[in-house]
Amino acid sequence: MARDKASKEPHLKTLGDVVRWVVDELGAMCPAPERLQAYNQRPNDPALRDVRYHVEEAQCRICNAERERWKASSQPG
Amino acid sequence: MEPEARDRLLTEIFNSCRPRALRYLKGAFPRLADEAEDILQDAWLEIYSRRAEMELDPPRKLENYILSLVRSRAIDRLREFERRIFRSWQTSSPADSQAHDPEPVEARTPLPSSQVAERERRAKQGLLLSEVLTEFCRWCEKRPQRLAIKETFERSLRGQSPGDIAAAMGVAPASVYQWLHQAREWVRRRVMEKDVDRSVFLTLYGGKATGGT
Repeated sequence: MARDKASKEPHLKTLGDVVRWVVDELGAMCPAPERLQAYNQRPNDPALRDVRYHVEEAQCRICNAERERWKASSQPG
Repeated sequence: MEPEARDRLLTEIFNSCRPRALRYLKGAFPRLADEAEDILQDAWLEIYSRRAEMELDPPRKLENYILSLVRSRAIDRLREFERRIFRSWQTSSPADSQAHDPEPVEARTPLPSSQVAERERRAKQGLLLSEVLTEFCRWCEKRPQRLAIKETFERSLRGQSPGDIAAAMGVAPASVYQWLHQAREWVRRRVMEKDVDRSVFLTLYGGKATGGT
């Protein structure tokens, strides 16, 4: 069991590895939830261009999963 | 509503939300895919222990709460990985620790129990890089003029060169250099102020680095 958990730990050797990992998997550069919500409503708002980069170009998995979840929860039923 | 009926309803709502929560966890945190059931179980225990205060109507409100909770617990697990990585770097091979540990050799001799306890305390308080970057984002988001610094820094952390960043953002390269400098300076200062056990500081500035910031 312990070995299973250890195998899921990322093997990070350098600062570059850590930076990429915390940005990609830990959402360290994710916008605040209210700004992500605002982006959902106003994707062309120039004040949200950093969010656009994060979501559309960098394709943050965490934010996109969050957007999917909001979309699902806003659907009737 | 009777407590038993409330418990039944709570269980029903949680179970109906389960497939969505699992899908969400696996999509957002693929590394934790095998632990998704565990995370959900922990979330259930947490919710059940606070069932008296849970609002069950409308059910969607509780579902959103469940999904926010599993997200937080997933991030807690990943942060625990991060903490272990920093700790392992601090206590890695002697050659490695000599390269990164500024303490004199005599300070590494066996420690009295009070010093061991102090080290433990500090290790628990240690700052994580993910926390520094998250704080940096909140700092940028407080003022509209700082948003360009955030975008520039994120592009840089994701491997774009200053020239590419300037082209993508439609700004002069000089602005990019200035924003990157501001971002790095903010991170450096934050780490120096807050990194009690110096784990992040040593990682960023002690020679472990070979890339990134």
